[in-house]
Amino acid sequence: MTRQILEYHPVIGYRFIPNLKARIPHEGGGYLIQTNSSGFRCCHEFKTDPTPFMKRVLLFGDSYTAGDGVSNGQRYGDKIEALANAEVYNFGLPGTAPDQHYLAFMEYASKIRADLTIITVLVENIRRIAARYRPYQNEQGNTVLFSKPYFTLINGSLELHGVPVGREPIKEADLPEQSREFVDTGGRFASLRKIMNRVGLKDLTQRALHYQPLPEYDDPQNSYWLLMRAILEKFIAAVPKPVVVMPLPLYQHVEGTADPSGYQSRFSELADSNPCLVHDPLPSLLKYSPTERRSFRFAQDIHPTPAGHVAIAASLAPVVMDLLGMKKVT
Amino acid sequence: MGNERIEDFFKHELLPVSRKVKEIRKAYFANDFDETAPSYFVNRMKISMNKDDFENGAVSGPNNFEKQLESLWMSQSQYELITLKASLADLAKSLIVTEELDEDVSPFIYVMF
Amino acid sequence: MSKTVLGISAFYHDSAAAIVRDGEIVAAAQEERFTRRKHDPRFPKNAINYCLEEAFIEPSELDTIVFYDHPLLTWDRVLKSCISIGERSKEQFTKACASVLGIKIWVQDLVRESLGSLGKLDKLLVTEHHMAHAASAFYPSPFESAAILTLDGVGEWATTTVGMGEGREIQLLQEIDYPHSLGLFYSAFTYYCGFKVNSGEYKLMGLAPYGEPTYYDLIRKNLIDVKTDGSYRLNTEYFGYLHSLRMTNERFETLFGGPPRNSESRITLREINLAASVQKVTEEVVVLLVRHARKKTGCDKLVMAGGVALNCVANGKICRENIFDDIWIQPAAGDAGGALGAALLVSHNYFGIPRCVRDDGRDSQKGSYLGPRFQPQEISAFLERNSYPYERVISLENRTRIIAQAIAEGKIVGFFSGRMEFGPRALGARSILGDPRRKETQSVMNLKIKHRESFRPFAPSVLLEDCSEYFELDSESPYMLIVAPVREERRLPTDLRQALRNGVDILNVVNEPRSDLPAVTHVDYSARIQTVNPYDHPDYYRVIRAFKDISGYGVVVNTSFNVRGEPIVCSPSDAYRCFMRTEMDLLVLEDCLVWKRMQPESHHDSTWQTEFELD
Repeated sequence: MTRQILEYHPVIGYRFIPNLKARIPHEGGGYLIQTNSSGFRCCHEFKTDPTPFMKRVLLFGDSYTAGDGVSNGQRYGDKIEALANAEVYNFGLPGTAPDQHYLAFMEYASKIRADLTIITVLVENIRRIAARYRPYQNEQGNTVLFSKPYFTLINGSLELHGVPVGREPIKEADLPEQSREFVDTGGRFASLRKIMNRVGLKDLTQRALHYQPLPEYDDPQNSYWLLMRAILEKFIAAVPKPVVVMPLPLYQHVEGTADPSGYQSRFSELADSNPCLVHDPLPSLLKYSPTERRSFRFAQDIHPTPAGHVAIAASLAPVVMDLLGMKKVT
Repeated sequence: MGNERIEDFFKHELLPVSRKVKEIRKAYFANDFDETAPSYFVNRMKISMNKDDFENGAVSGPNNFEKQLESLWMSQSQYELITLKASLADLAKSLIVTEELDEDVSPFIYVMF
Repeated sequence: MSKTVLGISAFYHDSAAAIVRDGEIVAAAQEERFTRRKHDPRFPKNAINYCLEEAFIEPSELDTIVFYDHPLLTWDRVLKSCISIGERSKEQFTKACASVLGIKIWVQDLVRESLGSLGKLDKLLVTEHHMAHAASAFYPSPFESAAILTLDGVGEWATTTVGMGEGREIQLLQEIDYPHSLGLFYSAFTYYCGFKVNSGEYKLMGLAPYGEPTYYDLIRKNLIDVKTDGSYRLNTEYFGYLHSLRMTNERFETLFGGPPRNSESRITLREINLAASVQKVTEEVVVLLVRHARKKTGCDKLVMAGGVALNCVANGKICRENIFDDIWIQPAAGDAGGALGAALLVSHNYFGIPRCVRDDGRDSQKGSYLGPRFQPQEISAFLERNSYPYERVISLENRTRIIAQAIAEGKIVGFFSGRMEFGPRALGARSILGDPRRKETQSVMNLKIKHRESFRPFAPSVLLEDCSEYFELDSESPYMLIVAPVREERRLPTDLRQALRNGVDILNVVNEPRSDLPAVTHVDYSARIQTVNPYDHPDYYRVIRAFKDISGYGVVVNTSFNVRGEPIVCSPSDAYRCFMRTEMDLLVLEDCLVWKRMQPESHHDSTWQTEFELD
């Protein structure tokens, strides 16, 4: 038995089922999740007015931020909360990207008064923002697709599509040929990756070939990057300041099997022309030993382990404390 | 491999002890009726569990298994079994498996209804 | 200082987990419900996951974890048994090595590996098997002190124990040891009559009322010697379980005139009369043991556990004998309950947490509704995600009325409500409900819902306050563990035994009405009763109450929510699948009503036929 933890949402596509307490079986043994009445995996109820004597941080991101694989209290957001003595409102949603994070902000957080906003972008999200459908295995064991909201960038202007999001599942076979490229299949060379995983050669192969998992970042004019940048700029403009944008590296970057320079350059450009601070945690993560870095993800699941979350938090905490005007705890 | 070791143990370790036990007419349990006994109940020597009973039951590693067997059989004065302890620990070590029972039920317990 | 204890039972039959916090039961569940494999004996990782979820605790935050059986003593018994038998025990020994030496001995490592922690104590505790049973019976009972009787197949060595509990102390005073076991004795007849050992015993019990105990003397003379205090010994020459993987042997077959019945073949008068005979012997032994327990302990209350305590016919007899003032039986009396007992025993005995008996005289088992619950929002999310048509009726009053009306119209209703039951019986949280007044309810439920033919009637759930109107039962029976007669004035005259003697097939006579509650009345006019009070599961109580308002009867038919051979459903997904595999009319998933007529044809499913075996 695995509990269903997500439910339909007409704007974002889905959210967590509100007021849920569940333990999800996982290769790490299992993890506890708790959601609030707004349907986010956050131990706080969202309040608009400030809490006296408490700084407030809004945190957006995908499953890395929501904490797939670890319990609520083990996530980097919760660690930051403890380190900075602030309340962190976690809006992380698995399987989403900044397009849906922005919509989540507009739906649930636009009236919340906060002292800092952190927008975490798993660098792979550059693909997700282009997706219009997500696959799902239904009760009969068949793969069906569900629509997601998405933006297009036409002549420099962002346009939102697919809202309200369709409730009904779509059979893969019923999807028009031209729409199939918009199904989120989870990254580049999906089928090759599966084969490599099966034969256990993936890491070796990637290292040997100087694998670049996300070539979309190589060119500042790449259409995926332009869309990502436009969404982030709109997002940054809307949220409470100051804003930290944190590009989260893939494990290949952390473990040295992929080149991060592409995405690092792009996010650096973003910081140069927007009222935000880009915090790149990769340099501090690379200071750990290879064995430690490998322990930042699970044996099978690529999501951060509790140790991975601690490392991300350790990298981010000084920035947060600085922006919140707090002294660093040594 | 596992089965070979089990067979080996059975043939070369267990059966000799079995023969010896029969020779000395020792029985670990009764097999038939006793018309003269007023009751078949056994009065328990230990009627409740203390902290040590709870704590000393789990086996942690083959060496500990061997020690526990020895201690159990010493306490029961069943010295004829003590010769088996080392080879039993070896056998147990060789049999550790990732659990995948292919049957519904172990043959050693039958619950009812 | 708060103490949270996780109890685990595993590797024999029906593995389970339970969590107890400061002596209060927080959660308990059987692994089979999650893996969908009936009587699953494997390490209960899913049940543990659920218990941690309910307690909302990390494994490292547990004060300790306890296993319900002493692996070393179990091995001691296996080894000595094989040494005693010698050459002929090779098959047994080979199997035992794999399951006991290969897995069970290393349970501490398995727990650590699976959970990543052994809790704050960093050590797995163990209890004696029958101590765990005794604890599961005594601690949740409503009694300050009580005699304890445990009866099962076998633990480490013990098969039967007599003891007493007082406050937080439990003492087991006497025992009967392997190979002498009332559980194994009954299972041997289960096997011989063609039913599956460990799950077919209730069928043998259901068969007994059809027969005459014509083999009684033969059994008493040859197979079991019973002393006046109820202690007994088996003549092991007749049983196969010591030196083979069969329960009986050639000598047993010679005694009863031939080989065991093949499970597919017709049930003959021999099996029917054997069932009646072994049931009579079992009841006699149990009643003597109960008398002895009274005499030995001086207590006026009795608690029971162990698989034999699920023999509700014997339990009914104990009640009617009035040996004790009151009796409480652990509803998860089998090995699953050992997980709960072990956790309770460690809480009270190891950690010294005081035991609080409730002031209102009720037990602490919480109606045995100790499993997972699903919020309405989770259920609607599930139904919507899969595009299953449903209507949400949030008003409890309206919903209850719709359900009761459907039952009164002869519709069959799958009722999924609240926390899942712990133990083998469905008690209104995962139940299929029907109208007990209708002659056809029994056959419809058997053939169109359970997909089987059965010689056993279904169980009634009756409003506690109305029980004596229908049945000759003075006490509560909230866990469906007591069989009692239907009131005489409700009975209809039949002569089914004569029909059987004349060669009429048992399945042809079972559907003949025997009272104005035909679906729940057995051939001997007995019924396996669940009394329903307004406290343990108010929503279920309200449904029966509403049914009474419509029909005048405060009784519904209650059978477990599953098809033949399937574990009882656990999740909305299991329930929907089972619903679509059967001819149920309405599925109630909390406040979501799913009508069969509204479901797409493509979701109808007949794969159950290959998925589940006969019991």
